[in-house]
Amino acid sequence: MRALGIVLAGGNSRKMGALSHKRAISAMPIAGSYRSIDFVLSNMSNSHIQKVAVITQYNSRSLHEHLSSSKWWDFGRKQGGLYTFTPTVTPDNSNWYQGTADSIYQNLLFLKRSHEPYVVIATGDCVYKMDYNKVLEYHIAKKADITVVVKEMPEDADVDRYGVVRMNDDGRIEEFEEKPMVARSKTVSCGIYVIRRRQLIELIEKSAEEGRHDLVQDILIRYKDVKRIYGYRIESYWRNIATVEDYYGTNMDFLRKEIRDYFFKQYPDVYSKVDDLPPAKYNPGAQVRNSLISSGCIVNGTVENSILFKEVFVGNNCTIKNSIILNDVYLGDNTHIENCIVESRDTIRANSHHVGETGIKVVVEKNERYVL
Amino acid sequence: MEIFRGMTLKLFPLTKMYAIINQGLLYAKICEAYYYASRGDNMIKKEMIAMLLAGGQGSRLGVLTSKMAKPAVAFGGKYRIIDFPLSNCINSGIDTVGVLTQYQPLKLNTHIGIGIPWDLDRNVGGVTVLPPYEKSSESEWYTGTANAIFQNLEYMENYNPDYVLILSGDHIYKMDYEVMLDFHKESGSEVTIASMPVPIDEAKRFGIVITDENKKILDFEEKPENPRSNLAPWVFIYLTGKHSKRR
Amino acid sequence: MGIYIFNWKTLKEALIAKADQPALDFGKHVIPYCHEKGCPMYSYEFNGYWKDVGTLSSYWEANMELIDIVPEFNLYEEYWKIYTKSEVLPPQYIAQDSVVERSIIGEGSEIYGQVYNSVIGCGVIIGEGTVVRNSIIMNQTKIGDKCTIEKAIIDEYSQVGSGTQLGAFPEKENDTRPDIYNSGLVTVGEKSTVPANVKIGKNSVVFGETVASDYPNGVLDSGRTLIKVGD
Repeated sequence: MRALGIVLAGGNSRKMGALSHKRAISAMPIAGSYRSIDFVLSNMSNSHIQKVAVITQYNSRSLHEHLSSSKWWDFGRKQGGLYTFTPTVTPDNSNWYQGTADSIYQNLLFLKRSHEPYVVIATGDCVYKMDYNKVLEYHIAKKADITVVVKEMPEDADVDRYGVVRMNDDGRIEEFEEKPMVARSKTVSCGIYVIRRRQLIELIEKSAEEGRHDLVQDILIRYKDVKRIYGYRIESYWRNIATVEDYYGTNMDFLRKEIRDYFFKQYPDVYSKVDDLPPAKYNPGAQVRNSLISSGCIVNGTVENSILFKEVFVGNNCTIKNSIILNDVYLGDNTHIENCIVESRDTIRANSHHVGETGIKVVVEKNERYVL
Repeated sequence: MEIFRGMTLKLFPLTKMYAIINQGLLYAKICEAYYYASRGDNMIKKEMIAMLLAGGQGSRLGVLTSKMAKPAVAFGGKYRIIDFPLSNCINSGIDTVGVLTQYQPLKLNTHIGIGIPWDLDRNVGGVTVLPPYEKSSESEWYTGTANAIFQNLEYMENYNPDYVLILSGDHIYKMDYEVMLDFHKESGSEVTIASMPVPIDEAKRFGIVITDENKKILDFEEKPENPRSNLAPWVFIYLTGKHSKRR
Repeated sequence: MGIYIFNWKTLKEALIAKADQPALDFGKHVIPYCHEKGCPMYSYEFNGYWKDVGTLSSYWEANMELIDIVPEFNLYEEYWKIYTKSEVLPPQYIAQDSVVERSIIGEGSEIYGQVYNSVIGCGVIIGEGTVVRNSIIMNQTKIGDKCTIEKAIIDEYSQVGSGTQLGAFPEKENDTRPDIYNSGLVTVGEKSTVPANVKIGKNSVVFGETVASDYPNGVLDSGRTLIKVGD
């Protein structure tokens, strides 16, 4: 138990558009039966980090409901635990979190009262599998003050919404720019940091005194020449889901066998909250090809290259192509859905037609549903 | 004894016998009260507990049950047969279930665990797996369904229930036991048996129960050639074939 | 039906009174004892779906009833959930050339072949070109490529090699237990292995890790029993 974990799950991204109206990004459903925060929490649990604080703020209701019982990720124990921190009103402070560093500052007592020497900070909106102990060993070996996990993106990738870094041969980060206009390298920061606990307390307190509230801008970038900040390269799969295109792309990646096997068949597992739903049912007329179907679904129509989340009802003669249908959606007969993401709890009336012509269309249709 | 007391009530209201019997009953009641009082004020009390008989082999399922008891056999893709009575219990509000195992219980024990999936991991009550165990006096395996319950009287005693629900762990159905309990209380019954109507021409395959219009049981019959008619034919209600006539 | 509610005192008294009866059974001894004693006994009428899955044929029928278009026993009701211990979480993957019709499939399964009228458990892999009809395949079983499976019950953690046919040949009576295996089903026990390219007939039983040499000419005729596990 050398480290404790902090998951930053309070932010919002404008680029998620209508999808973030209902829920925080960390609560976005992924790959049929999981939510984005399950990956971070499973990684923490599998790395034997037993004490994790999840900091929430934006649209946190469904995230709290998902985290309500910590036992799914093996946190409901006497030693350690899963804590959720929302902004609260105290005699000293009645502000919302004004930034990532401010959210940690408002919960500094949690850090001060712990005794673990290191802290692993991660964001809740990335999909990956990682053992944080390896990053911790690298951090100790390099005698770093802060270690940032970085990933080399492919040449043609668009990196202007990430923090872009440039490392020297030793691994030390020499340049760090957040959302640059012109990116000078293709290495991006994954939003995962390892830092000594006392060091973090000191830096956060100093920033708060100066009225600076952002973890990346005001601590990492500002101190990059003063403190030893090193980059740890991650080679395996990592994706961030903060835009509609990336969210769609990440989910569609799970249609590939190697990604599925990597996440679901290799030790250690990804845990999530269990919803007791019956197995998926395929009635006559169902034609399913190259798709992921979750439990509780009832399929009467055609589904191709798509992902159906839990409890989706597909009516007769429907056609669903290249789409993602989120939880508990009712699709009436003869609907045609192509290149779309259908929001959860929607009811699509019979004979509807939704096609994403230029890019992914997000469908939000809250009609009356008659429960049989 | 009952008849004797009835007679004495009618014919000899003040005989010594009557007084002695009454005194005896009073003494027994006082002893009972002392017993419960000595257990302290914070005695556990459950209104109804369930005893699930899951010890059978189910030999007619062939190799499916050679290494596991019948209630552990998978059903409907992801469930096991014992999930149905267990889910019925928790959905009916029963949070104390004793599962009696005997034949090849390994798979069943791992599946039940401490009862987390059925919300039966409780501080008081919850699910307990009850295999046969050695006692300081003579010990034996469970020789029959009622013998299994008899050997676990102490487990049931701990919860001081008013009612005990006996279930068998190898049927597929959904039933609200609370509704059955309401019926049991309203009718003033001491033993309530659940039964199912079957068409009269199939009646000869089963053991049947003959009741009056209030559902009070008058008699039992095992696979009768000519099912006895009653005042209202719709009142035929039947047990399934395993229960034989008392002879 | 085996469902009784007793008053606690009545039950205790009846059990203690009949304690010496060997093979003490409810239906045979306790209930008649209570009846003779004159305890008020009532019958609670139950009108829902109820199935005793005691024989292989009733077990197979009950599973098949779940895949009707509107099944009599509805697992999809929200207010009366059936809970179970879920070991597998990921969703099921249905491949490009596969066909799934009139079936239910559990989580974590990968279907590359064709499935008709069947009940498939969790974590099952069905290889390419395999056709499964009217069968029950339980958890974590792997079926190889190009198999034909007709009216079979395959228990958990089993493996069926490629090119195998289950349920070929006309029906014959089983040679060891005709009272159990008599509904035209092929039964494969748990953790069994069926090698590749064999043909197995109806009413037959396979249990244990079997190899090609156990099948003369690559055939297990209808009605034969092949059990390689002790006990």
